[in-house]
Amino acid sequence: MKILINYKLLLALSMLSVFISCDKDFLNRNPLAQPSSGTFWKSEEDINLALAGVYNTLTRSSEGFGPFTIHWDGLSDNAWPRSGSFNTVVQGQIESTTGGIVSDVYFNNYRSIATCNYFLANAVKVQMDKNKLEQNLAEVRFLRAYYYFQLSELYGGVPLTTEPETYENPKRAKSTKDEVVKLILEDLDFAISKLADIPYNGRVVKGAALGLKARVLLFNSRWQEAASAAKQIIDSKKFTVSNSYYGLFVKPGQNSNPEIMFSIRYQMPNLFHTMDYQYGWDQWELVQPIQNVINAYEMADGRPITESPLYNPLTPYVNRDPRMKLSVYVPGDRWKYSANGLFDPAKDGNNKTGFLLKKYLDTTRAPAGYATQSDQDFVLLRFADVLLMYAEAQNEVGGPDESVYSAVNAVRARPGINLPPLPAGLSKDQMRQRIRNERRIELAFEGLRFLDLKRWKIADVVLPQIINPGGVARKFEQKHYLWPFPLSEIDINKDLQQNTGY
Amino acid sequence: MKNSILPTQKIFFKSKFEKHRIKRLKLLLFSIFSFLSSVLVAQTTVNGKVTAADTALVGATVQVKGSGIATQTDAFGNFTISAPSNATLVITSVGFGAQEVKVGNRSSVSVQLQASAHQIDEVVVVGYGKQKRISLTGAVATASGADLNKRVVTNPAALLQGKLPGVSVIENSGEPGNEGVQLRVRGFTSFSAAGNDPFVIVDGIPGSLNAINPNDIESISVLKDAASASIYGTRAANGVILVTTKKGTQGRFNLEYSYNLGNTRPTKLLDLMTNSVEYMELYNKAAAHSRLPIPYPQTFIDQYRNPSDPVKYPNVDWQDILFRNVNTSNHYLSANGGRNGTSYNIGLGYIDQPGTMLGFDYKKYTLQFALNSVINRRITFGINVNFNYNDRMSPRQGANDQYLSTITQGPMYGPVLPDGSGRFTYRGDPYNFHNKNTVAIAATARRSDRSYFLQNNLSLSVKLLNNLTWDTRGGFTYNFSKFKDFRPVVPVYDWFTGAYASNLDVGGRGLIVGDANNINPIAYSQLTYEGKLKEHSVSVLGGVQTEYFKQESLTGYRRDFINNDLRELDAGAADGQTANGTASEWAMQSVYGRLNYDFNKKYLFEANMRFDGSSRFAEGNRWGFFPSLSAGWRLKQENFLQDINWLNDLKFRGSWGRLGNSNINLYPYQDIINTGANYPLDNSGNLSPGVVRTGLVDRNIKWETTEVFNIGVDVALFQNKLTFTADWFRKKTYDILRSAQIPGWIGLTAPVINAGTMVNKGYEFMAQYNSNIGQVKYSIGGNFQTFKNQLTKFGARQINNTVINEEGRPWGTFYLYDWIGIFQSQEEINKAPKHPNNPQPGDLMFRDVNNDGLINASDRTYFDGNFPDFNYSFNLNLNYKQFDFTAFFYGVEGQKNYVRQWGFDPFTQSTPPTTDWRNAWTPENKSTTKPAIYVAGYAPVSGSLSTYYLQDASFFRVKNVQVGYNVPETVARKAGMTSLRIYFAGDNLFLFTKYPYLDPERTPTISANFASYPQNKILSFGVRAKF
Repeated sequence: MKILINYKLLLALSMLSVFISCDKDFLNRNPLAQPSSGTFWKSEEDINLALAGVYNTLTRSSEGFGPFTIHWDGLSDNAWPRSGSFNTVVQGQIESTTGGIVSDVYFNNYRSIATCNYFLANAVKVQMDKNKLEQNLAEVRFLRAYYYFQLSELYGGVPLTTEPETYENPKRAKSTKDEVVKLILEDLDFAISKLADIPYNGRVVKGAALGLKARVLLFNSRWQEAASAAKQIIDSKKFTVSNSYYGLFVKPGQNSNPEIMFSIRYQMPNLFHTMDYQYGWDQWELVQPIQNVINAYEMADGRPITESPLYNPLTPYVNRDPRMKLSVYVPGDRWKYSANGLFDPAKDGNNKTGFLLKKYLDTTRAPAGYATQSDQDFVLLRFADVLLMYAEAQNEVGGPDESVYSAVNAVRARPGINLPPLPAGLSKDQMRQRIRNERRIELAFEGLRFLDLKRWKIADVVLPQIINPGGVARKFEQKHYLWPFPLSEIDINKDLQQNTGY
Repeated sequence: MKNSILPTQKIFFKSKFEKHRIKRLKLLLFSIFSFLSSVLVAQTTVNGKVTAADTALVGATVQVKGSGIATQTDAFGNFTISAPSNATLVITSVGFGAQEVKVGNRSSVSVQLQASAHQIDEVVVVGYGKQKRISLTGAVATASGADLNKRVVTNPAALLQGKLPGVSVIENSGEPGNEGVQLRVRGFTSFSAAGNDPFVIVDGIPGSLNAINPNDIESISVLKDAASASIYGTRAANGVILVTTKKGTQGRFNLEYSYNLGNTRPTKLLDLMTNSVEYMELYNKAAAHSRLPIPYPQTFIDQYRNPSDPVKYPNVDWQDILFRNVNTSNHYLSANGGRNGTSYNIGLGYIDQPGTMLGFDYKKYTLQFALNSVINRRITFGINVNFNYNDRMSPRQGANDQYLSTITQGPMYGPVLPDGSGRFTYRGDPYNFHNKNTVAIAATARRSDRSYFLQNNLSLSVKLLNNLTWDTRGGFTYNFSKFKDFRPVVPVYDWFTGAYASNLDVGGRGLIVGDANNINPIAYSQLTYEGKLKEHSVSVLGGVQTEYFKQESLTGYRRDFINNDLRELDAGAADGQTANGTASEWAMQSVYGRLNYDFNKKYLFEANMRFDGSSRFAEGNRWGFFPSLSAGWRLKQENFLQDINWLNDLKFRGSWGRLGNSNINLYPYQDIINTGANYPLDNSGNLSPGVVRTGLVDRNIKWETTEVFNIGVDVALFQNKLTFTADWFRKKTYDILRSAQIPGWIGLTAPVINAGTMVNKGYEFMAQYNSNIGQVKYSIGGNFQTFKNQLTKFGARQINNTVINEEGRPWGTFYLYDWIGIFQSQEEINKAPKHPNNPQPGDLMFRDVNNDGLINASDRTYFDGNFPDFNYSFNLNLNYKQFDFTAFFYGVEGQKNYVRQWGFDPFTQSTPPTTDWRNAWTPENKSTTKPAIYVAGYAPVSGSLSTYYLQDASFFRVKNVQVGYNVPETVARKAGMTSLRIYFAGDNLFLFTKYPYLDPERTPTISANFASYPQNKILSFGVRAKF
């Protein structure tokens, strides 16, 4: 019996040990649906995957609105943002604790920059054709430049990061805005030197890099350099003014459009956004054009409404610059959303300004609802902008010479718009005003107006004159030319000095 | 052919785990057979009856001392048990003193238990075993199934509320099948993603409270301190809840049927203004004050004043349409019995619970099966199976969206057109936006969630020697769930013209179906030695456990369907379809052990330990060690207290130990690249697949550890009439598996690292007094619990909207502007510190905390209320002849909720204001408590997150009252029953609170919409018949 028991005991113990002993791999569990960084960066195929990943950062949402450049015009004198943190901003509530778009721009651009940096540091390890690799590096550096440009325009000098970072040291002081711009230009010059000079095909091309370079220089008042970068594009003749203004912003007009130089692309059925119902449907109407921009549209005779004999205050929407009705729904316009087929802002609960956005809306999708999937590409750079950039820069350098007139008039003469040329004999100052207004109208709701107002240093004059629906004036103080860094960032990164006034 | 392997064999040998499982199985079978053949000893059958106070005691446990053989008494107190001739029987029952009876050569025994009703002699389920309460040295709270089932509630987790000191239970809502019950044991242990949910064990293996039918529960133990819980190592930091389901009893076949019908209604709803004219006039007033355009023209309002057509110009109460009184029915049938050492229990349950909110329906089917077989005096074999099927229907956007969207509707129109066509209304207010038509949603766009849950295990207990037992248990939990979310195309029409206006907002179009399953096999094997030498008793337990978990999911989507009736994927067009699926897994291995020593049942010592190895950590950091030590001193056993008659028991307990937590995501240390970042890189019309790395990792992470000190005392006085238990604890959690604080410029999501320390200190009391006045037996009792949370090491402060996390303060301390009043005049505004957003008279006034004459973000300050000051409960039981009465009261003090928008801010998405806004500030009625009425989003009110939105959610409520009548046995027998009970009960009957309008009982929130699915008030009638 005793032996039996000992035998049983032994068996029991061995039984116990079986549970544990033999299986070393039992506790090794790896992700079943995702690759690990250790096994990545081996082949050209990996480069292609990572490159698509870098481009995909363009589609990142800010405050849930996607990369909708339109929203930025809500901060300008072109439109009013109905809700969300954009609305907070136009009420002058900008603090380091504001959150929403005020902090999203900071965090999101750095997220995209980190994706670029990870690519740049690792792609060079892969054995592949040198030219192809450099072309890919150039595309990524263009995107990094684009993200740093957004940061520098909104926050001024920011911390610089160009390598994949670890988390151990959270401190980094901000560089000056000049240093940020220097990095941006280095990236763009690299891109310009490596990219093919061909029409836009969905990827970054040399013209796009030159165009962004012109924009960066222009926004930093480096007129001569900006003019020469823009001129290089004009001279290359790779891009022209498209003959359909509305078609620049909806498909199929956007496909192989000779004017578009760079855009954020969407592809049905799997990569889409929701802007048709966010802007168009009477539930949302997130960004509503305001009277102020309506007044800025010239009459068909090329004169401002204050000077033109064509203007009749009783029929204010007649005989105007055709771009007005291609960009904005005005009362009385045909409108698919309402029962009687006409746009009537008074019968629309959410409409507070009397106008609705039309640019970028695909009218074939009306009435849009939650289920509506939209695929308009967001145009980040187009040839008309380059012409206007050239005109502005060249006017600052040498006054309104022939090339300035010809650039602006090329935009005004677009088929279907056909505005008369600018009157001859404008002074430099007059020309500056005409270019600024042309820029405002041509590029309305494309996200540039707010930044333009800031770089011209007139935001603090213009914006407080805008009265929000309900009767309260907007607020834009000197300190608002730069946004504050998020308080949470200052709390962690003790070396980061807050912008003045916050 | 030498090298060829059949494909099936390949698969078979692919997984090492698989291979070893087979090996183990073979070994297990071999060992089982070797025992079966070796141990056969003569048994005799003993019959008996257990009584207490001259009535039969049902469900008492009768055990052969020192063996695994046990049974329970039947409905007449009778039992039959196989026992060796020289055996001693131990009879125990919750609430009674244990009795030992020597069988000798008797074949029938009669046992009378003393109705002491105190729980000191009770046997308590503990980790991997059972212990007598008297020898417990840790902090363990228990509740019996009988006590819990006094309330008739479908979710067993909710039943624990107020029953167990140290356990906090919050039922978030009354949504059937989705109550969102939050369980917390002793405060808020960790701020990591590992969370604060206690570990639930059902019949020895990990399970789920929601999956059980409350009627199947025999008992619940909660292991609160490290001494009792450390045997569960890394799963135990948030406490362990051990559920034991009912087992069969030896003796005759018993059949029991119970039925409950509960009339259910919301406890509280908003009191909204539902008069169309009043609504519109007030809106105009609020818009004027909020500097917004005036929406409603006088002509439109006038149509509703003395309307010519009251159908077209009505006053509709949408909230009233959304909510309804419903009947919940609950059927439960159980059968049990047993003979010749084999006993069984079967429980079948069916619950049908429609929601008080339109569109919600829930059905739950449960099956519980237990079989226990004493094969011989050495071997006991058991099976437990729990199965359930849940079938839930709900409006697709969920309960909160449904409630919020409903109350946004104005009273000027109804959900269906006034023309009687039955078509759904799009909108009946041309001037303001209101959310979607929720009545149409409930009728056309419901989501179905079905789940199947199976938990089963086999157990084998072998007495290797008289004092050495080998227990093995193996089983698995399998969960399969399927959802179907069809978003139909439903045209909706203009209220006034009847013209087609739009399609119903169902959040998209098409069908999403998905299923998910997980399997969790687990097995453990352990040896227990119990020895006694004179006054020294020792017991040693050692075991090993292995556990694996895998979950898989698959979802598919198609957008365009032929019509709204064919709701399967194949009925949709393939264009744009998507399919997603993933799987993940983890594994754990463990060694655990326990040592108990006592001297003369007077000095008690216990040590527990566990080694856990987890796949969540990299090799090298994989294994963690979790020890605990505890001691008890039963003072009453000392000679100097022997003569004090009124003192029946006095025990001091103390414990220390460490617990772990690793319940974060499954691959926290692995540097992963995410797929799905696709982009159209070329013009092929297809997306190029893309990948991104979005986060950082720390390969060196290890367990999060919680160290617990516990001191407790158990007292029984006055012939055990009064019992009292108190515990004090200090819980320190360190190496918290939190997200590192990394700045935004790094551009990556933070890695999980071990950092931060949090301390919870608190105490719990429980007291119970039982006595009688003549024939009226009564008991009263209560419990009380409180804790203080403090973040002792955190790093940089973190402000998340309404709360701040900062060292030295409780987690999630509210950090808000201090609302101190209402501006009564422009002069007052001019004199006050400069407020943001240009306030007007009637707006909120805030405190200038730093006295700089300016109200801005630096004037936010600290407010407590994220955690309650204390929770408490009382119970009262009366018993007179055939009648009984129980009442149960529950309260929470000091909890605050930050609530806003729908139902709180007037006109949020045009929501009608609550009626108290009739007394809002106006130049004529200068209120000091209610600001001037505004339209939600009005910056002087909502632009600054302030205490205006912080509401005191303290409450005290009559949770449950039950009156029962037990039909006399003689009468019942005539009807063929052995007993029959009839009762009436009320749940959530009365509520006392300062919280405005709604039920304060919801998961505490630091920022949420005010309106949420209300709790249920249930008036029920029930019968329980035994045959």
